[in-house]
Amino acid sequence: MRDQERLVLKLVAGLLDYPGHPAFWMRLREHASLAEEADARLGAVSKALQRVVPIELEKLYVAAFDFDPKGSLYVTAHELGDSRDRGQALIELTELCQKAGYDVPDDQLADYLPLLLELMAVYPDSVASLAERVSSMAGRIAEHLGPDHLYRPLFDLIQETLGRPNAADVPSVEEHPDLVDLPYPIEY
Amino acid sequence: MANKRNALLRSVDYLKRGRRINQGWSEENGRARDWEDVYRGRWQHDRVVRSTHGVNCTGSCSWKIHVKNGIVTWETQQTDYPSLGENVPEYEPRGCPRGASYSWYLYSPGRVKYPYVRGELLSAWKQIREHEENPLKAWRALVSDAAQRQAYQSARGKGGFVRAEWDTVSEIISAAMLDTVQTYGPDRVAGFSPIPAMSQVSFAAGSRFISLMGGTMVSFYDWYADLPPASPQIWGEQTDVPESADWYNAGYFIIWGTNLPMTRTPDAHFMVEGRYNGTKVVGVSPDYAEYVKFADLWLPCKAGTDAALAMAMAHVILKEFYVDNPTPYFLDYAKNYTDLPFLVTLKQQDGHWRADRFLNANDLGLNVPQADWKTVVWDTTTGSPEIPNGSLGYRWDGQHKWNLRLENPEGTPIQPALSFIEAADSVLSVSLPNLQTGSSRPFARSLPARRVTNSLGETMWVTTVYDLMMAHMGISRGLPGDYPTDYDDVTAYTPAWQEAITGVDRNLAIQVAREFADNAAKTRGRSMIALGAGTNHWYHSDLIYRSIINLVLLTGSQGINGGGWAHYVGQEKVRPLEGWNTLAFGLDWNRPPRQHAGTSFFYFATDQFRYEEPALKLPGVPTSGRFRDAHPADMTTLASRLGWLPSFPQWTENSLAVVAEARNAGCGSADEIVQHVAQRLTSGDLEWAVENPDDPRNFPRVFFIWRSNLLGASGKGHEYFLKHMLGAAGHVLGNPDESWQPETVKTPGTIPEGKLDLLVDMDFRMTSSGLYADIVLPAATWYEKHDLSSTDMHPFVHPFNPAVAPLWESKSDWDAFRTLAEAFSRMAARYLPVVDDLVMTPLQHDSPGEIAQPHGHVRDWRQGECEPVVGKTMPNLTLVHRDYAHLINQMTTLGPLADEGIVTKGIRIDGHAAVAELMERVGSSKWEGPGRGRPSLWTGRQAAEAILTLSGPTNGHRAMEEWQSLENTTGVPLTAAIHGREDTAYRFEDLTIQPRLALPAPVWSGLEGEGRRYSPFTANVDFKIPWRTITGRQHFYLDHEVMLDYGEGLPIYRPPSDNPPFASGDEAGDTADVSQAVTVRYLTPHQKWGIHSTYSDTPRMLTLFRGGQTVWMSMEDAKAIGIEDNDWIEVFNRNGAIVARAVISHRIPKGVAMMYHAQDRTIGVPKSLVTGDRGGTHNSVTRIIPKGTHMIGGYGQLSYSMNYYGPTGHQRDVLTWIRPLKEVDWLED
Repeated sequence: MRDQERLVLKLVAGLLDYPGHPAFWMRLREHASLAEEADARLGAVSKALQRVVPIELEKLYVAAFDFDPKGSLYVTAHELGDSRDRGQALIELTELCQKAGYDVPDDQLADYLPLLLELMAVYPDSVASLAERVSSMAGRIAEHLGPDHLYRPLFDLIQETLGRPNAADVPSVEEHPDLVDLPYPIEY
Repeated sequence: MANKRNALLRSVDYLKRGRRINQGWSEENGRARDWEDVYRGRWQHDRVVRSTHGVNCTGSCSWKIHVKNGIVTWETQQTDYPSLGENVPEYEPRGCPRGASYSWYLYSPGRVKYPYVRGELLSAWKQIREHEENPLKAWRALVSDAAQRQAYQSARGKGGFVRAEWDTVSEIISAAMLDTVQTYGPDRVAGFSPIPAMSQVSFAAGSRFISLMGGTMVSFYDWYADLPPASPQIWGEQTDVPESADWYNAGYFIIWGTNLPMTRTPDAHFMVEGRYNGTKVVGVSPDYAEYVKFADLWLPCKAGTDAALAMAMAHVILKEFYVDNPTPYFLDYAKNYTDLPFLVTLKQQDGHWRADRFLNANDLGLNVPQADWKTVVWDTTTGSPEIPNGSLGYRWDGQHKWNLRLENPEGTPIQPALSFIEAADSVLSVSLPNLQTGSSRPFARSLPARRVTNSLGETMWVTTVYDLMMAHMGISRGLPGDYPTDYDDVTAYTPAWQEAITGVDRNLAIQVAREFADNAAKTRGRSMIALGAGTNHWYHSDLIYRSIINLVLLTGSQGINGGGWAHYVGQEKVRPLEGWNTLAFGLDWNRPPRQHAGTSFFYFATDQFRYEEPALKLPGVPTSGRFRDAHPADMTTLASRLGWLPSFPQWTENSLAVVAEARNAGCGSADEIVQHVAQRLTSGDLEWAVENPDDPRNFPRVFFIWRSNLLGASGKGHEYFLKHMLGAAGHVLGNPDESWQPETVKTPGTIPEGKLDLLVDMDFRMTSSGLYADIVLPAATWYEKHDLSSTDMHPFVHPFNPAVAPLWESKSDWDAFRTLAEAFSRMAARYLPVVDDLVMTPLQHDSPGEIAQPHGHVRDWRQGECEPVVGKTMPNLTLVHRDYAHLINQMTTLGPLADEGIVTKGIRIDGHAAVAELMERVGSSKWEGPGRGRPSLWTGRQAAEAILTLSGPTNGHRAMEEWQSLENTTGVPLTAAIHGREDTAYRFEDLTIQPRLALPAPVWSGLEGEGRRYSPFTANVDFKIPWRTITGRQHFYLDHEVMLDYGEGLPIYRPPSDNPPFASGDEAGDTADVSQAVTVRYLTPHQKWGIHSTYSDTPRMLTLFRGGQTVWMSMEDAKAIGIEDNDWIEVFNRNGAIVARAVISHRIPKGVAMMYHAQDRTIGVPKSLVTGDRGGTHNSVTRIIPKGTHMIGGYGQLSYSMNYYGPTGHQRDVLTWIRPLKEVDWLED
C-alpha cells in the first residue's frame, strides 16, 4: 500500500470521528491542507464539515451512525449481526491489533471502522485481511446514505482506496436475517 | 489383486492395534487428537461469570456468562441449583431463548453508548450558559422562553440527538432539579422504575437519589394493572404467592388467564410434571392459548366474564359442600381462618334492610382498648357475642393477643357460629346488589338474623358474613326471596346463569367446581388456581379476582402447600425486602419519602381525566350512588384530602415556601408548622395541586425513567402521554369538550401540551422512551454490573456480576445516579445547600394510620362531617430537613436512622446489630460529611451487601430478630420457624458461588426451607398469625361505605365496559371511515418473543415470529373486512391509532383482537390514515379509568402503601375499530 493511500485512510478515520469534541475541530483545521493535498474530495468534505453549524453536524452524525443500524460503524455488526460468531470475530480483530503492537481502548470495540482504517494506515500488514471486509461495508453504508449525504464521499474514498470487493457484494445480515447461523436450520 | 495388496498394506505384524469395541466399529488408540481443537476453539473461553437478567423478566434465572479475551461470547444456563430434596422435580435448568439472546445487546448497533441530549436543548443551554454563570438561573431562563421550550418539546420523538459528556448532562440535570425545587418544590421532580426485585440495587440507585432530594417516586405495580387489588382486600398483603415448585404439590390445578408455558417458560415444567404426579389441569381462557394445550379440560370463557364463571362455581361449592353435605374440613377452616363467622349489622333504609358494617366491641359497649377495631362473632358455647383475638384492634392495643386463637380476652375458648339458620331471632328480607345488565332493582332475599343490644340500649340486627354470603350467592336454604330454584334457573348466580354470559357449558362449570372442592376435601386443601393478566387487567379486576379466590378460600386451600391462589403477572418478590426498602427510599436518612400511586399520577399528568365517559348507572345497588357515580378525578381529590391516597405534586404552593410562610407566621416547632399548614388547608387558603392539575405551577417538571420503557410498554393512553405530558405529536381522537368533567377539579379552557421541562431516560438500548426523552444516559447492561435479583417463582436470590466492564461511556445505574448526585451536591453547596420541606403522606397500611377512620364510614371534613385532624381525617404532614450539599454523602453511606430501627410491614427490629454487621462487611466511609464513619455504600456491590445484611430472608440474625418482634405482638411462640438457620448469613460472594435458598422470615407469610416449598400464608395457618385485615382473617366481606356503594361488599360479577370505540361527542373526522371495519374487544396479553419490549428488538426474537407489530384476529372478523393473513390493518378508537399486520388465526374467538404487549415503535411502523402520522404503540388505543374502590384508605387492609393498594391502570375494557390499511406509506421521504 502506498503512503498516499495510507494517508487517505488515516485522514478518513479522523473525519469519521464524532464531531462534538474540540479535538475533532482542531484536527480538522490542522489537517485541512493535508486533506486537500491528498485528495480533492477529502478537502471538500473537510471544508463542508466546517461550514455546517456544529450542533446540526452532531445531529446528522448521531442520526446516521449511532441510531441507524444500517449506518453503524462496526464492521462485524454488518457482517454477522446477531450471530454468536460475532464474539469470535471481535476477538480476532483484537488479536490483530495486538499483533501490530496496539491495544484496543477499553471503551471501544475492535471492529470500529475508524480504528480499523487507522490500523491499516499504521500497519499495512493488516490490509490483506481487512481491505475487502472494510470496503464491502463502506460500500453498503455509502449506498444507504445516498448520493447527497455529507459523509458519502468518505465511504466512496474508502472503497476506492481499498479496492471494490471482487466477489459479488455479499448481502448483509441486516437485509437477510435468515443468513444468520441460527442454532437450527430455517426451512421454507 | 488390488484388494490383496490393500489388505496387506493394512495388516500389521509387529505393531499392536487397540481394543475394538461396538461390534468392531470403534477402536481405542493413541492417535493425535489435534482435530478436536476446532471444536474446543469454538467453545473456548477465559472465564465464566454468574449473572442473570433484569427487568422486566421475573424469571430470575441463573446464567453462566462466557467471556473470551474481554468479549462476552455467549451465555448458557447454570445448572447448580441446590436440590429440593426427594420426590420433587428440580429447578435447574432455568432460562429461555429470550435470556439466551441477551448478550446481543452488549454489542448491538442500537446500544446507547454515550450520553445524548436533544440538540435544540443543548444549544440553548450552551448559549445561555455563555453569559449566565448561575446554572439555576440559566435553566429558568431556558424554560421560561416559551419558543425555546416548545422547540425542544415538539422535537421529542423526532430524533435530533447529539452526544454529550457526563459532566455536561449532569450539570443540566442538576440545574433543572435544583431550579425546580426552588421555583415549584421538590415534589415536581419524579421518577419511575419498575419491578425492583429484578435488579434491586439499580432500582434503589435512582429512588434513593430522588427520595433523598424530596422528589416523588411513582409506583409501577398498580400502574401496570398487574397489582391485584383483591390481594390487599382479602389478605392485607400484596401478591404473596407460591413458588412454582409448589404447583407440583397441587392435586387439582386450574390455570385461569395466565399463560404459564409462554410467559413463565422456565417454570412451566412443574405444571407438566404435576400431571405425571396425578394433578388434573384445567384451563380457563377465551382463546386457544398455549396453556390450554396442556390442560385436561378447557373452559372457553368469554374475555372479561371470568367472575361470572367463578361465581357459579362458588354457588355449586356452597350448595353441595356447605349446605347439602357439610364438609368438616371446610367448616373448620372457615371458622378459623376466614371472616365468615363474623357479625355484620343490618341497616334499615327506606323500608328495606341492607347489610352494613362489621359489628364491633364498641357497639356492644365493651370497655376494651381499640374497641372500634375489635370485630365480633357469636359464641355458640355461651350463646352470646364475643370478640376473638386477632382482629385489627389487637394489633395496636399493646396486649400481645394479636393471634388467631379462638379465645376471648379472658382466654376462654370460643365456638363461633357460622350461621344463624338454626337459631335466628328473625328472618329478614335484605336488599342485595343486582348488577346484571338491565336490572332495575336490587334482589330481595331473606336471611336469618339475630338481635343484639348496643351500648345505648338500642336493638341492632346482625347476621353472619356466612349467612349474607349464602343469600348473596343465591343459595336459598329454604328461605323466601329472589332465589334461583336450581342450577338450571337463569338467575344469579347459577351455572345456567353463567352459561348465558361466559359461553361455558353449565355442566362443565358444575363438574369443575365439584372436582375442585372434592379434591380439596380429600387432600385437605391441595386445590390451586393460577391466575394472571388475562383475568387481572380489567376495570373490575378486583371483582374477578375476589370471585375466583372465593373458590380457594371456601375449599380451605389457602395457606396450604399445593393449594391456594398463584398470581403470576408483574409479580415480584424483593425477598431481602427490609434492606432494600431502607436503601431504596433513603429511610436511613429521612422519613417519610414521597411515594405516589402511578395511575393517579399519570391520570392527571397526561390529562386523561379530561376525556372521561360517564359511569354506568346502577339502579340495582341499594345505596345512594354518592361514590360510584362520582368522576374518578373527584374521587381522587376526596381520597387526597381524606388521607387515603398520596397526592403529588402536593400543593399549588411550593412546599418549601409553605414552611417558610409558617415560620414567618411565628411557628417555631415542627408541630406548630404542621398545625398552621393544616389550618391553611382546611380554610382553602392552601390549594391541593390535584384540584388544579393543569395550572403550570402544578405540572411535574423533571421526570426520570430508568430500567423501564414507560412510553413503549406500560404507558396506557400513549397518545395522551405524547400530547399532554410531553408536548410531542400525540394523536388523541376523542373530544374533551364533550367528555364528562369533574366538579372539584379546575379545568382551564385549553388543555396544556408539554408539561415536562426535562425527561431523562437511562437505558442500554434505544426504546420508545428514549426516543421521546430529552437526555438519554447510557446504562451498563446486566453483564456489566453488581446487583441482586429475586422472584416469587423460586426461592433463590441471584447476583448480577460484571462479566466485562461497562462498555463505551455507560455506567451502572448505581454509578450513574451517584455521578448525578455528586453534581447535584456540588451545585447545591453553592446555590441551595439546605432546605426545609413539608411532606404530605397518606394514612399508611401497617401503621396506626390503618385504624384512623373507624367503621368504614366516609367523613369529609370539608363538608363538615368531621373535624379536620392531621393523620386521622386528613393526610400526615411531616417536616423534613434536607441537606442537599451533602446529599452525595448521604446517598453513599448508610444513615443513622437505620440504627434506631428497621421497620417492614409493621415489624420493627433494632438496627444496631445489623449496622455493625454491615460495617464489618463493607467498611466505613472516609468522606467528609454526615456519613463519615458510617457503613460505605459507594459501590453497587456494597449496596447489595447492605441489602443482604439488613434482611431476614438473607440473614438469619435478622430473621430471628423479626420473629421475636412478632412474637411480642402476637403472644405466640414463633422462633421455631427459623430454628437451625438463625446463623446463616449470606454474603454477595456466597450467592455468586451457588444459588442459596431464602430463609423464612415474617416479612413473607410462607414457611420455607429444605423439604418445604414456599406457599403463602402457611405461617398464618401453621402458627396462627393473623392476616393484616380488619378481622385478622381472610375477608370475603368488605364493609367500607365506598365498597357498599359500588355494590361490592361481597364478590360479584360485573361485565367489562362495552363503550363504543368513539363516544357520541367525539368528532373522528373523514379519515375515520368505518364502512369496511369491525368492532372488537382489544386485548394486550404478554408475548412469547420478548419480555415486554425487551428482547423483542433482537434479531433472533424478530426472526422467531414475523417481526414488527402484529395484531391477532379471528377468521370471522378477518373475513368480514376482507383481509387475509399478514395484510396491513389499522386499529383505532377515540384514544388513537395503531398500524400493524394481521395474524389471522383459528385460535382467536370472534369479536376479540390481541396485540401482544409492548411491540416497540422502534421497529418499522408505517403511516396511519386516521392520524396522518406514524402509527402508535399497542397502548395508542387504551386509556386509564381509575376505579373509586381502589382509592379507599385509612381503613384496615384498605390503607395505602406503595405498590400495595391503589387504582390500577387497566387496559382491557376497550373496544376498537379494525379496518384494512389501504395504503402502506413508510414516511421515509
